[in-house]
Amino acid sequence: MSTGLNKFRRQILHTVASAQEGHAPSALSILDLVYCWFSREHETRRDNDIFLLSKGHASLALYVVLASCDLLDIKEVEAYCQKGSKLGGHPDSRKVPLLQISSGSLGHGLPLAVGRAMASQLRELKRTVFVLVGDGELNEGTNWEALLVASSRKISGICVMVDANGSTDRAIELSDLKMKFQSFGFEVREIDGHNHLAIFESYRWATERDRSVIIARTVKGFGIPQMENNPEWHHKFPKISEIDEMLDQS
Amino acid sequence: MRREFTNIVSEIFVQDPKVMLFLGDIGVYGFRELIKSEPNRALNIGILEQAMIGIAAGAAQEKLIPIVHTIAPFIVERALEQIKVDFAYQGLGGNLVTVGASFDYSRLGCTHHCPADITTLVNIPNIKIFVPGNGKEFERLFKNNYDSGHLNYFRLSEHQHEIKIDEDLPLSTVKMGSHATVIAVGPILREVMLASADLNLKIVYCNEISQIESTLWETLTNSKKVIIVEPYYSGGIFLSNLDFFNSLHVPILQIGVRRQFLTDYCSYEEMLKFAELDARSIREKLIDFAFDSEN
Repeated sequence: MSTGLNKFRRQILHTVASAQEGHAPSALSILDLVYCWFSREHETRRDNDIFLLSKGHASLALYVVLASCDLLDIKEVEAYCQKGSKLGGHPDSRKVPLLQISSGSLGHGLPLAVGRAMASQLRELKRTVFVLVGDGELNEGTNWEALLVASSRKISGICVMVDANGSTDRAIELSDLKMKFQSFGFEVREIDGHNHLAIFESYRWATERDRSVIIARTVKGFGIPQMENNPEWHHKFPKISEIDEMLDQS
Repeated sequence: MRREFTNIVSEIFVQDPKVMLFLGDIGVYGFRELIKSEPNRALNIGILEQAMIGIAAGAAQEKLIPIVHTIAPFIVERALEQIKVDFAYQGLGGNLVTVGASFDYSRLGCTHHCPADITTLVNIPNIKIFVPGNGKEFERLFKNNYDSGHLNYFRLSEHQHEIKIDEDLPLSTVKMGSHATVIAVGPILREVMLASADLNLKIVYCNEISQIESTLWETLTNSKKVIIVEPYYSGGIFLSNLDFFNSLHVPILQIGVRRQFLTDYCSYEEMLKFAELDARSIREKLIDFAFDSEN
């Protein structure tokens, strides 16, 4: 199962354990998607493309990846959730503009992304705005409002990435997600959200499209067997002494 | 005020290419030419106020200046979290311009009333709130502030005062008097002046309610009593300038729209009476408070 990102998994677990705060399984769910987006192997990414993390509780994946790219000081990650730190459980883009969006409450990223895509179109900027939402987050009506606007106004340069880990299927099952997005005029591709080749290919594909959706089938807590698809871990923190064993089992 | 809003925004829209207009399917006829000529910048975006605020905030992130317009409760109450998170928390500038005020749609029922807009919005840090008393005031306030980089809320009302005020002051004295100082906000100045014509009260006026503490100091420090009359649920000025009022050791009376659903279908003037904001009701309260020696 490993996708070679154990260094990041260790950082995420260690940070959560140190702070006794954070949503590790959600971060592990999107880690591959975020890693690939910022990777040099994401060759079709333009300098002015934008990545918005709408499901802000998964922020640790973004923090550790940005630190690995030297875009964030690793000391900031180590100070996660401590008094005076710039990085908290949910991102604050006023403290770190690179984060692009202050998210946390769900259902805000997609409308913002549509607005940025619209404005980019108006400014004649050639770019794609990627916004990563959770499938549970799609319960929020604002997403569908924004999709209505995007399709009816034929907005170009927007890609919705769905972290489809099924964690909220217990409330509302989104089994026909692909059809739903298609009915809103978006082109849709479904991928394994932990397969890097598939992820890179989907990013290339999205960049060539006006309005696209990548439904990334993921596992919440991916790489840590105790956490995988285990709701108990959603907002629970390991002890530092437990981390080696957790990683050894992966 | 709607006519002035349409005219002024149309004028600014043509002059300033950074302006982007979002209509929630309200006011569309007035902007039909802009929507036709600049369809990517003047948008009738539809009846989806929460996403409209988020989309407008996204445009603001791209350095554009959004102007968002619809009926007050549909922005302030329905999309409150979007105002808080998408604009205010992220420090983005923009303009929310609403119609309807407390009960301009007095015959349409409580879904279209919004007496709670100001006392709701004052809880959002850094928002600037304007309650123009007439179209001319709106023009000045809007032109001076639309591109300030702040999040601005402009509360349009169909009901206006026609009293001349000193435009250069956020808090201007309209009438001299000594028993108490009355602060009248926006259109309600009309009723306050009718109510107090023969009373020995100082009447001051404001149409901007946030961040006016320094002016309040200058105007109110020698007052024996203070009465605030607002055309919405009372508390807007008080909450916006809490440090000042906490340090002002004089009796304060706040008068605003009665806090209950105003369920009658009736004229605006009848609704004012029901809300206890007509001149007669205000006068009774002014006399009871200002001239009662026990206060």
